[in-house]
Amino acid sequence: MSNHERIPEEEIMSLPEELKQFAKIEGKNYANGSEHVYGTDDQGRKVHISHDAVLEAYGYGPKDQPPKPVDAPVPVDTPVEGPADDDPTTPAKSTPVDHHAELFKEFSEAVRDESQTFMVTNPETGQMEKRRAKDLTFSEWIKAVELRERARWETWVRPFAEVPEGEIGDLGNGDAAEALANREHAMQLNAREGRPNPTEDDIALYRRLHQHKGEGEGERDDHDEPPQEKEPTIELPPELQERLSVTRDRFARLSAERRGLILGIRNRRELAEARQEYVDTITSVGNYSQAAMEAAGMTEDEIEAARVLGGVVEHSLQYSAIYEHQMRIADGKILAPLYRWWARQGGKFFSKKGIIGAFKKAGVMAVPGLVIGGVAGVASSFVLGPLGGAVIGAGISRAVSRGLMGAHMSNEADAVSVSFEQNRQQMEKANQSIVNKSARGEQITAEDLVAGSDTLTERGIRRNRGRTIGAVVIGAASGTLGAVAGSHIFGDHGGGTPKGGVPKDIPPRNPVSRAPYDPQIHRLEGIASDRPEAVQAFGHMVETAPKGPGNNPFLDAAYESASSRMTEEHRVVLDHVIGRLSGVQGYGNNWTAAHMQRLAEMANDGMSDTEIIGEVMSGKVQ
Amino acid sequence: MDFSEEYILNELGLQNQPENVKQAVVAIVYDTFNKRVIMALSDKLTDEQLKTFGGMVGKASDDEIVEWIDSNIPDSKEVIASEMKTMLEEMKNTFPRASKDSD
Repeated sequence: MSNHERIPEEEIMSLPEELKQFAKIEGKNYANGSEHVYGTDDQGRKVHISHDAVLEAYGYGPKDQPPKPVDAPVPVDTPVEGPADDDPTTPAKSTPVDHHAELFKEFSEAVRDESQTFMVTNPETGQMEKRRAKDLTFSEWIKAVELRERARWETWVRPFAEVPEGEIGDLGNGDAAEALANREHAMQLNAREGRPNPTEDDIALYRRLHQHKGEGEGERDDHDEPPQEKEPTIELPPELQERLSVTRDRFARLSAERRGLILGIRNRRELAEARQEYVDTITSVGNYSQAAMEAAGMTEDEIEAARVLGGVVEHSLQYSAIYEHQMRIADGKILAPLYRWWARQGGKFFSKKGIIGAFKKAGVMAVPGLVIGGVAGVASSFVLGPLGGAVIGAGISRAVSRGLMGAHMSNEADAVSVSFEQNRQQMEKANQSIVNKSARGEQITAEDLVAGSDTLTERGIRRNRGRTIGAVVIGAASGTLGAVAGSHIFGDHGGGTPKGGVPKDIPPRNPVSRAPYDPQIHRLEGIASDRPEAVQAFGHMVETAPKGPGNNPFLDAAYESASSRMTEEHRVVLDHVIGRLSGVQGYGNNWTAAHMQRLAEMANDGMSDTEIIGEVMSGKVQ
Repeated sequence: MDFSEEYILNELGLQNQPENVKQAVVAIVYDTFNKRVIMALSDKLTDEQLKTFGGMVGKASDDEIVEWIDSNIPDSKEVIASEMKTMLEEMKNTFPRASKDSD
């Protein structure tokens, strides 16, 4: 276990051979709390000396030596001789030995202070474990402290788009980003990881930090004002985000293929490799996040909640990816009917099976994907990256109570800064409006569906409107599907579960004050009933293509032709069918005008949307 | 079997989170559960059975479909229960928990 074994104290009174190459050795403490040792040779060349090198030079041998007793570290309080330093201009007075003594003193204090815990990696399991200092070797403790310092440093730096004072690695090329990235701290980390310094990622990070410095909402240029305390922002390194996404998707694709519903592919070895890569990445993400959250001062309970929330979201993303790949492989033909039927069952199936309490809200069952859009989808667009769930989980629990649910979407993603809380409130308001209208039997308009997005900031709004509208529409679908569905999906039009999700206290419908007929509303209902994941895209279409899904002139013409001879009741059915089919295959994929005409005829014959879909799925509509 | 919201939140240890977080968690869990159940039930059926099932949707009544599932997947209830239990365990353990052995 021990990385460094102590040698008798009398043997460390003078500079060891390994350090005698230097004319001067000095320790330096930086404002960010880090401490470093430098050696300067007789040519004036200055190099950094790692803590390990100093320790080993003084006889603290490498890893293979016998373990020390748990309470072995003893603070070195006795003054020891350092290197001669006749240069009065030398600012640093500390020596490697002083530094070494300070480290041991700090370690000793940490050992005595049982409240201090440190995150270390268990070499056997590869997982992070929380340990008290007394249970750590000195080397393990140093690494744990460095990890903590790194996380603290990065957590502190990023929100401010600034770096703490310290050595700036100016490369003389005038590039401030490179200079920042070449900081000694980064150099040390990169050296440990065997990477060049600065890495491209380092430069990109600092370049981005500088570009976006001071651009956030509410930030001021008034430097005379004392800086306000900011919520720490925890962000996964971009390469880790990318790796998580790539490994998740690869595992999902191979997992879907292995199921072999269609292709019969069963490449077990490749799948096992993909799984291992994915698990390893998750472990890395978890380790980084935990250290970062601790450094950000989150409590143990907050971190634990964030860990579980992150797991919920990541697991959901994983299964969504598997499901999507499986749907793609099967072209939606096999799973789609099963999924549609299942999602429409509400509590009915469960009550038959004697499962209690499940899915009291039929609307929840019928809007899979809502929260991915409403929370994880929007949230994971934030700067937080794929770990969104974990960090956002913590952010939610911390920030909501303070009414500070502000969150910034990534500028890199061409997103706009929006207040999540504002967005959520608008969604809820829009939901309530739709519920009320539906309860009164009034027609729901497209304006209702996009109402929540209107007060968003104009900056970049066009780029984000689709996303925002999608969130609002999905939110509307979530909150009101029971009510909307009661009038259209589950009830009056003959499809699905008769009782599913219909609020009991809805007053009788009043057909008065109906708005002009809008096919988009009924198509949206169709989409929401079958595949709510597609609702977001539909919301975008509503905004960008007034004619709705497809904007296919041939099918639009076919629709106009067919619907002009239909009653409104039958048009509603036809639009439900279009919406439901659009959710699966897109509006008009492989359709012809004859198909549209056939669908219209079935609606005119009095068939329900579900019955028509059944005909289509059974291949009878050719 | 109890798959209520309270059960899910308690199992995940998130019962004390703010209400909007709990609602989000429950919806995510149900969404994922739906997908898992569909895939688990699909795994129990042959391609031919799946096609038969697809043909029934929209034509047969819900009672008939449930009856069909019962006859073709006799252990469907256990499959569903297992999916919920396994899913919650996997969600809880996706990210490694810091060991508390030394605390």
